[in-house]
Amino acid sequence: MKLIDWVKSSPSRKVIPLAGYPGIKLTGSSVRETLENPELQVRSLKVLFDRIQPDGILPIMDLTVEAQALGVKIQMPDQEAPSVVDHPLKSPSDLQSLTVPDPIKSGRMPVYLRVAELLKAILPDVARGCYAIGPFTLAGEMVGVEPLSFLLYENPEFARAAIEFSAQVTTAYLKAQLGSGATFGVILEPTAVILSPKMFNDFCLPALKIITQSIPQPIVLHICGDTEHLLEGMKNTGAQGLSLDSPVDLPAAAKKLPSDLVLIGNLHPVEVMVELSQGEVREKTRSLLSAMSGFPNFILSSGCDLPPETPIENIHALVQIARSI
Amino acid sequence: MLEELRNAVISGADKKAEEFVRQALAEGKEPIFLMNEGLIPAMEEVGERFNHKEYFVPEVLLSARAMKAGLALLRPLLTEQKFQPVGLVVLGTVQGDLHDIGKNIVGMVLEGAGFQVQDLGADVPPDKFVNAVKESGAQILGMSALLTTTRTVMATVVKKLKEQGIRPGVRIMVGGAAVSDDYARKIEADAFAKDALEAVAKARELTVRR
Ligand code: B12
Repeated sequence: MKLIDWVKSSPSRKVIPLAGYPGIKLTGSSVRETLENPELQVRSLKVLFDRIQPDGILPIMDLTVEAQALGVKIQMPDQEAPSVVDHPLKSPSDLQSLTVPDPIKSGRMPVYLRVAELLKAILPDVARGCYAIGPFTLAGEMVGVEPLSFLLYENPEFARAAIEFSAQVTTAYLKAQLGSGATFGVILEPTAVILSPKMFNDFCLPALKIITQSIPQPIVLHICGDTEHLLEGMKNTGAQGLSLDSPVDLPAAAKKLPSDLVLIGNLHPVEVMVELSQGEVREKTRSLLSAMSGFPNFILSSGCDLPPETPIENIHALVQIARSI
Repeated sequence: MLEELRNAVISGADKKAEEFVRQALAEGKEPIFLMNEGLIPAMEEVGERFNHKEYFVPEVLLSARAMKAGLALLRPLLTEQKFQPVGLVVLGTVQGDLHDIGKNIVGMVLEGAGFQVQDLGADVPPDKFVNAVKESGAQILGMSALLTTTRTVMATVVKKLKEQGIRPGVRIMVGGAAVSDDYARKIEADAFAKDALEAVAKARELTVRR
């Protein structure tokens, strides 16, 4: 089913907060264990799902899986999100020696394949997403963001090759998760927010198109931060949904974008979802819903991934309001 | 000549910027003049373009590198002439946080404005900040935090500086997506800046007010 048809399939607003980390504290496990053990991860996702009752479920966001599968060193603190500590891709010959990892046996990709399987088993009728980082972000992790920025101007062939290779990794990983039980894919492309529209169109857009064209299931594109300048380019990627962060004026974006492109967002993950009271979250949610009331192509969510300390009641309040309107 | 130097920096042409500085020096131009009339206004223009979304991060990084190429030739001469940098800034992203794009831009724009910058990198533990301030005698400590989960490291640094009696000697400036004016006040930092240009303005204020 196309994403837009699913969104329109029920009279009430669909709501899918980007919430994985807040569930971890409900199980008493550490972040690290939850990212390494699929059974634990699914247990924490399920506890959170039962508490907030959203319309869809997503795994815990982990931006290091792909780089780690390519052999890059990462650090995994006990109670924080992991990160890549090394950027080993220095030259075209380094690139030649890399091969697209097999998701069945590379790094922690199998953890997420198993998560997709388990979620399908316990929530067969719910929309189940899976994540993969986008080609520019992965290239940024492999090369380093600063060196990659220089390459865009000074060695565009190499930059393009690194980004296109990364797109193959994204594709393989998404396909494997979709094959294991996920029903839609979310491409996380945070680092692309630093690009001008021109650079986005030259380097990111073609790579993202290759991904969306080779995957039949719906794909959502998520870029964090202020992406007003990239909306036009994001629209052309072939993604069926755009997940937009809190700096974006969502109603204004909806006016500019086609009515069959699903927009997902965009309560501030920290300033609203963490820092405000339940009552205030309700207020903010109501005003976003009313501003978006003329647009059926909308899924209510947080602008970006919710931090671990987000109060569960606040996420619950967000879902409740969507249901009550 | 100055016009060409400025344009080289603005367009991010590092080889050209270096060449123009070399030529200008050979023609007897004063290093301080090339700094104040060439590199600094060029980086100010780059900062403006960034604020107006004409430039984005990659373009700023290219310009900053061109500025640095010119500065590398000027710096030894400026030191020789006992020219004082506007101030010394110790800069870094706090422990647990690996976001360094914004911090790097701030560092480069500060250098472009005549500050000397000691960049400690990302994921910097509190003691490393404290020791760097102690050893360098920096006027300003700049800390960057993009994660709400780790921004508390800034408060730890402030506390340690106090405990060791060096807090009065240094001005603290913070920035990054996880901090705000309010947060800066709460942890008793001296200033918050929302972008690189504001960081330069605030850093100038902080050095004057001492
Ligand atoms: C690019 C990016 C990444 C890249 C970073 C690459 C790199 N080398 O830096 C990658 C993909 C690796 C990444 C990883 C993660 N990220 Co991230 N990331 C971003 C993003 C999209 C852009 C940041 C950026 O570079 N902007 C461009 C620069 C130019 O802007 P800037 O950093 O704000 O800097 C300017 C000003 O703030 C100021 N400034 C900055 N520093 C300083 C310092 C001083 C002293 C002063 C005066 C001023 C100043 O001047 C700068 C220039 O104008 C932001 C979104 C956002 N809204 O910021 C999320 C964001 C920061 N990330 C976020 C998260 C959650 C993560 C992860 C935990 C994700 C995960 N679940 O794994 C990991 C954490 C890894 C780690 N341990 O650090 C969240 C943080 C939420 C929170 N408040 O806690 C954000 C805000 C996204 C969101 N809306 O939720 N990320």
